[in-house]
Amino acid sequence: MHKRYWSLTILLAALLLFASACGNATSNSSGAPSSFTIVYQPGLGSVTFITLKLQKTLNKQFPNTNFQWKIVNSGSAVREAILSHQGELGSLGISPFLVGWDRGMDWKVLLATSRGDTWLVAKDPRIKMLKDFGPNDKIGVVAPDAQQALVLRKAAQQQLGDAHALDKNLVAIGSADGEQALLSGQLAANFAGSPFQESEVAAGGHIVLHSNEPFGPVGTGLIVLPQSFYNQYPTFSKTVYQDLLEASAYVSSHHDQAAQYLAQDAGSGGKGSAAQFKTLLDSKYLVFETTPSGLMDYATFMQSIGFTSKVPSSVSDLELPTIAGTGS
Amino acid sequence: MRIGLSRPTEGTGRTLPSWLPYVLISAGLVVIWQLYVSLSGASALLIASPLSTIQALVTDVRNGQLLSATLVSLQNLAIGMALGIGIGMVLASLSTYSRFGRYLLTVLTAIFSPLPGIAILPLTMLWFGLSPAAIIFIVVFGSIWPISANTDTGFRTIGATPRMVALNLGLSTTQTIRDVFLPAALPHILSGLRLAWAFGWRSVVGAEIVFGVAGSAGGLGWYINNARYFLNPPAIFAGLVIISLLGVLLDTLFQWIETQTIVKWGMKQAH
Repeated sequence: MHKRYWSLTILLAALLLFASACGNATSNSSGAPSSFTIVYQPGLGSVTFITLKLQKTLNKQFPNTNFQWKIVNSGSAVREAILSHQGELGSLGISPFLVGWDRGMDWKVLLATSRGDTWLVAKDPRIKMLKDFGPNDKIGVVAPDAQQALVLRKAAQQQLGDAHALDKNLVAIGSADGEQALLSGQLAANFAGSPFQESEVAAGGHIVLHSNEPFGPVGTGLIVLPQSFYNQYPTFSKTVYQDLLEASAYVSSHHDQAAQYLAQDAGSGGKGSAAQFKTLLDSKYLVFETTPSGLMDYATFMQSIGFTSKVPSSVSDLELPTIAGTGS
Repeated sequence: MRIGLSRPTEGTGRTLPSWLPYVLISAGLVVIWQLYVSLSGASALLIASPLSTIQALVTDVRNGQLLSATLVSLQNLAIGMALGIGIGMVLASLSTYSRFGRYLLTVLTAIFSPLPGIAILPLTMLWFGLSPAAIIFIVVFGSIWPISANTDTGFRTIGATPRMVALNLGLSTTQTIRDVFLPAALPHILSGLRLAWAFGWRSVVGAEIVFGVAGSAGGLGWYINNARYFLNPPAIFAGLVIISLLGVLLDTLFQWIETQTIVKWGMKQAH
């Protein structure tokens, strides 16, 4: 009997040790972590990450660090990866970032990536405006807390008088699956971003809403990092920030090469050719901005519709020292 | 030496109520849960405490979210089960009365019974679109096989005497099935129903999570997934508690039906 208790105790101790060992990044002699995982979402907005990845910039600077790149379907999944210590650096929209911040997650914005005009695309000619959606018309978004879902709620508030008027129509679906679902008639509309929206329009869809309309031309994609990680590895974090700035500048001025990178990487989300990606990069819809915008506007709106409980006193509350006080 | 005839747990008049051990074990599990949350230092964003779970339960019952989600799930289950029972009974009756029916049931059960409900969800989404019909179809699909197979076994194990009596009385086929076969096969039918609802309940919740349909069509699976999207672990736990409690309640309902029928009629011993 005693033997059994001992084995149980040993098992429990082993489990505790395993649990405490999980997720603690150990550092190497150069002040960099031994492993570093970057989590991003498929889409044109990930071109900065893809460029950084394919140019192997980080691998050259930190040869003793094991860099991993994970593609997930939504900002919520990026949040979960960071929360469960499966990733450190994440790329996501403002709203999933703010939900995490509101619930007490230890993360802040390292820099912004880009701001694009995302389209709500419908296929049925009957649907021209938000008021045309019936109760059975499903609208695809990557997650109910995704930036597109928030933009839709703001538009619903402006056009229909109720921010939650279309909540019952929302379906959480990955961008690529959403495009297929729209084209096969399972979704009445899809709100996904590039390059999916362009394919949808090319296949006969039409634009019902531009994401630039409800909030104005604000709302950048964000790159976030846990504050504790930044404090533990400040030099490494600043280098990553600098590398991302340079990658962003490179993409802005080298659309040809960036399009080649997009065509090579699954993170682009499309099966397009380099020429097709170059056309998308050349378009006026995607602006590379490394200073975040829209943080306060989204935070105020999200609190007003009950999605979050608080609004930051200033934008600095949300930013790491790399960009402190520069965003809006 | 005199040996007592009564069983050790009975006869003293001071025995513990039969439900007490279950309640004590459940309370012990809740205490362990609370101790883990309090002592492990685990993030509240990863695991909710029993207290915060109860708070989320109360909040979401009051604002109607949890009740409407529960009703949607139960509605999907009830419609699916009702259709599954109907089709299962017809298949079992066919199997009893015709050789072709028996072959048909054997082949259909062998082919479809091993398929998990979630595995056919992508197909049902193509057929029925993103509507509750896709979920109901899975429940129907999953409940037909345990119900028909068990009912068929029940019909086949009925002794020769009731069959002869039914024949002598000149009962029609429908009367024979309704008044003789169904009551006689009830122990097997109830076993089939218990299997079917357990399968159906898991399928409903699983499909609702995969499905992601929101709002009016959102059941408990959707509720849990939505809580995940809004980083609300207490609500996830509250949803899980409701799913588990409903499971216990439905199982208790089946036990009660057994007690009122086959146990009372002497066809099965009480637990």
